[in-house]
Amino acid sequence: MTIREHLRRADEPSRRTFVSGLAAGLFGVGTSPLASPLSGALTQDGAVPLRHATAKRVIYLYMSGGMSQLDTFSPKPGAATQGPTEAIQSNADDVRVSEHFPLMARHMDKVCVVESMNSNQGAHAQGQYYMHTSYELRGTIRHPSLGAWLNYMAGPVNETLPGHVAINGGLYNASGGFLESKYMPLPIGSAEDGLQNSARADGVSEGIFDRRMRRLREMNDAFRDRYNTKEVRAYGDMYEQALSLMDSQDLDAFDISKEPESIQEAYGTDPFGKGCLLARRLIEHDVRFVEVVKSGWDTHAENFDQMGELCPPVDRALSALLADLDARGLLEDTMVVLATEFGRTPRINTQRDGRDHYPKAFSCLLAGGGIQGGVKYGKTDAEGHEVTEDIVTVEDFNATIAYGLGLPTEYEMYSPSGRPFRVAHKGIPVKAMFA
Amino acid sequence: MRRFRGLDPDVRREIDSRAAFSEWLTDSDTPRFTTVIANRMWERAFGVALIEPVDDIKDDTVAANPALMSLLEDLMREVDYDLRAFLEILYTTDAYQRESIPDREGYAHQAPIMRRMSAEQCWDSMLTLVLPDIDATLNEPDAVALDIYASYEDLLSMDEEEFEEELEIMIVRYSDPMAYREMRRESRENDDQRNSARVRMLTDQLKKARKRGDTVTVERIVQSLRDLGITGVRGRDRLRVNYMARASDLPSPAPDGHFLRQFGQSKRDLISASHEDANIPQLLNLLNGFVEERLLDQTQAVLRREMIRARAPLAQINTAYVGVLSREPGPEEREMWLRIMRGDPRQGTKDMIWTLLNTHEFLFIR
Repeated sequence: MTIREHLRRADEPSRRTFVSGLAAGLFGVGTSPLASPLSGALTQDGAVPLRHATAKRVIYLYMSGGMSQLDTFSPKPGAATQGPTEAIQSNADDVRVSEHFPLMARHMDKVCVVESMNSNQGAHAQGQYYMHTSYELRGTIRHPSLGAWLNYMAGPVNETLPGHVAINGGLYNASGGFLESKYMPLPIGSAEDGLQNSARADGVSEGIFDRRMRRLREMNDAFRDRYNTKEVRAYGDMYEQALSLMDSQDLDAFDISKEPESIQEAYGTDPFGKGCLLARRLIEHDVRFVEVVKSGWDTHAENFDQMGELCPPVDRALSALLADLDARGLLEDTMVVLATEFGRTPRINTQRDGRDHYPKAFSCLLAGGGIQGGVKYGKTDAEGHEVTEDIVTVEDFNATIAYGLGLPTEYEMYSPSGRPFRVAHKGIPVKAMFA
Repeated sequence: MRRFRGLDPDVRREIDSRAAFSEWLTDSDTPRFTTVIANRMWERAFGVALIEPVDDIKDDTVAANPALMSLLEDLMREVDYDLRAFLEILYTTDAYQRESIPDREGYAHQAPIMRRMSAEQCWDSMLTLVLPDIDATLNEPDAVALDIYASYEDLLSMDEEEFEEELEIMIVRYSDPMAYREMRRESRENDDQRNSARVRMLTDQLKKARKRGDTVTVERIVQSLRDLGITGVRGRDRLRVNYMARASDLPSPAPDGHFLRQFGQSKRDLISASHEDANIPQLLNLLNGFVEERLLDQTQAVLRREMIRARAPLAQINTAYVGVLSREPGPEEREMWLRIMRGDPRQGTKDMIWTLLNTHEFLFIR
C-alpha cells in the first residue's frame, strides 16, 4: 500500500471510534511508512522547532457547561445585568471578583482575567470542542486538543508516564484527535482513586503475568491478522501502553493520599479540589498537560442560587493551587488556565432566574508560565453585552497558550488525510498578556 | 420559525406546546419520524446506519441504500412501531446472522460491522460469568448489608445498646416489612420531637456537605433523612452502584471511575456521549482488577464453578471458550491449554480465563 492510500484510508469518517483507532492503526510499531520524517507531515515527537518558551506545562481547568462571567471573575457592580451577586475588591488594584471568590481575591495578583473572550459556538458539544481544539466540530475528522499538540510538538519529558492526563473529563474535552493514540489523554475518572489497577493483582507473580501476556499477545496477534481494523489495532497498542505504565517508577504521582493532610484540606475534598491536587502532583512528575473538569455550570435556572454551590470549590481549589505552585517555584513555568465554552447572558432570564448561553463576550483566566498577573485584558461595555476593546477569539486564546509554551502557531502539520492543521488554527497570540 | 409539517401553525398558540410537539413527533404522518426510528434501530443492530449521522437527517438526505431504507420504513409501519418486534425481525435476518465485516471500506450493509461491545454489554457479559442468575441480584439480604454499609459512620459512633437496637431494626426492615412499618409508626410517634431536631441537624449537615461537594456524605445524609421519612431530598441513589447487577438495573451514569464509565458509558451531560474507544484504565482493570477480583478470586463465580464441575481438562477448556468467546477452541488452542493445564491445573485454569477475557475477541462482536 502506498503512503497516499494509507492516508486516504485513514480519513474515513467513523465518529466516535475515530479518535483512538485511526492514528494507532497508522503507526504500528516501527512498520509505518510514516515513521520516517516527511516534510511537515506527522513525524516523531519533538520534531518541531520550538521558540523560546515561558511555560513548560499546563494545568487546564475546564468549567463545563458555560461559566457565568458576571457572577465569577468579571462582575459589573451597579449594572442592571449584575443581579444579586456582589463584587469584592481583590489584591490587584483594577481587579474585582464576585463575592463567591473570597480566597481567589487574595491571589488575583497572579492572574490575568481575559474579559473579552469571544466564541462563535453557542451549543455545549460544539463549544467545548472548539475551545479545546480551535477547530469546529465535524463528522469527518477529530482534531487534537492543546494537550495532544503540546506533547506532539515538544515531545515527552517523562518517558514512563503519559504526557497528557484528563481528570473528570467528558467526550468533547481533551482528545488526541487524529494523532497517534499515545497522545490521547489518560482519563482519570476519580482523582481520589487515582490510577487504579496499575499493579499486578495479589498472587500474580511477574513470571505468571509474563506467561499470561505471552499467550495473550499470540491470541491477539492472530485476531488482528484476521480482523485488521483500526479499532482492533488501537486496542493492541493500548495494551502495550498500559504495560509500560505498570512499569513506571512514578506511579506514586497518581496517589494524592501521599500528600500531607493540610495540603489535601487546602485543595478541598470535592472531586474538583482533589483533581487540582492530582494535577499538581502530575506536573511535578513532568506530565506536560493536565486537564481537570468541573461540570454543572449550565445555569439556565436559579443561576444565583447555584453560584453558591458551584463557586466555592473552585475558589478553594484554584487559590490553593496557585499558592502551592508559587511556593514550590512551579508557577514560573507552569501555566494555569481556566476556560469554559462560553459565558452566560448578561440579561437575566427572569422567568427562571437564570442566565442562558452567551458566546459573544465572556471571561477566561490565565496565570503563571510568564503571564502577567493582577490585570484584566480586554473590555466589554458597561452591562457586559459586547466586547468593546481587544477582542480575544477562542483561537487567539489558544494561540496565546501555545505561544507561552513555545509552540510555533504558524507551523502546519499534515493530518493522515494530508490536510494542514495548526495548533490554534488561525489564532494570533496576544503577546501583551505576557509579563 | 419553521412550521411543523402537518400541523396548522395557528393551533400552536392555543395548545400545550409540549403535548403538541410529542403528538406531531410520533404521528405516523410526520414524514421523518419513521425514517429516523427505522434508521436508528438498524444502526443499533448492524453498527452502521443507512443514514449517518443518525441525528442529522435533512430534507435532501439520501440513504446509503434507499431501497433498504424504504423497506425498513414499511416494516416499521407494519409492526406499528413495536420496536421489539422490529428488532426481532432484524436479528433473525440472514444479513444479521452473517459474520461481521471488519472494515468499512466497501461496506454495503450486507452484515453487521465489527464493533467493540458497548460499555453496558462489556459489564453485563462479565457479570454473566460471575453470577449464576444475573437477574436474581437485587435480593433482600444484600440490601441489609448495604444499609449497614451506608450507615457505617453512624453505627461506629453508637454504644452497644444503640447498635444492637439499630441492627434489629434493619433486620426487621428487610425480613418483615409489615412489622417494620408498624414499628416505625410507633417509634415515630415517640420520636417526633427528637426527630425534628435530628432532621434539622442533618439538613444543616447536608447543606455543608453539598457546599464542599462531598458526594459521599451527601448520599449518606440523604439516606438518613429518607429513613426518617423525609423524602424528596435531592441526591443520587448511589447505594446500588456497587451491586453486581445488570447495567440497566444500576443508576446511570455510574459514578466516575466505575467499570462502566471506563469502558465508555455516557456521563449523560451531553447527548450521545458514549464511546467504544480503548484507554489505559479499562485495560488495567481487565489486566489487574475486575477479572482477578470478581472471577479468579471467587470460587463462587459461575464460570469457576462450571470449570470445577467440568473436571477433565478438555471439558474445562471447552467450557471456558464457550463461556467467554461463545465458540469451541481450535485444535492448536486446545493443545496449548492442555499442555499448560497438565503442568499446573489450578494456575492453568486461572491463566486461561484471564487470557480469554483479555482477548480482543472477547471485546469485539464478530
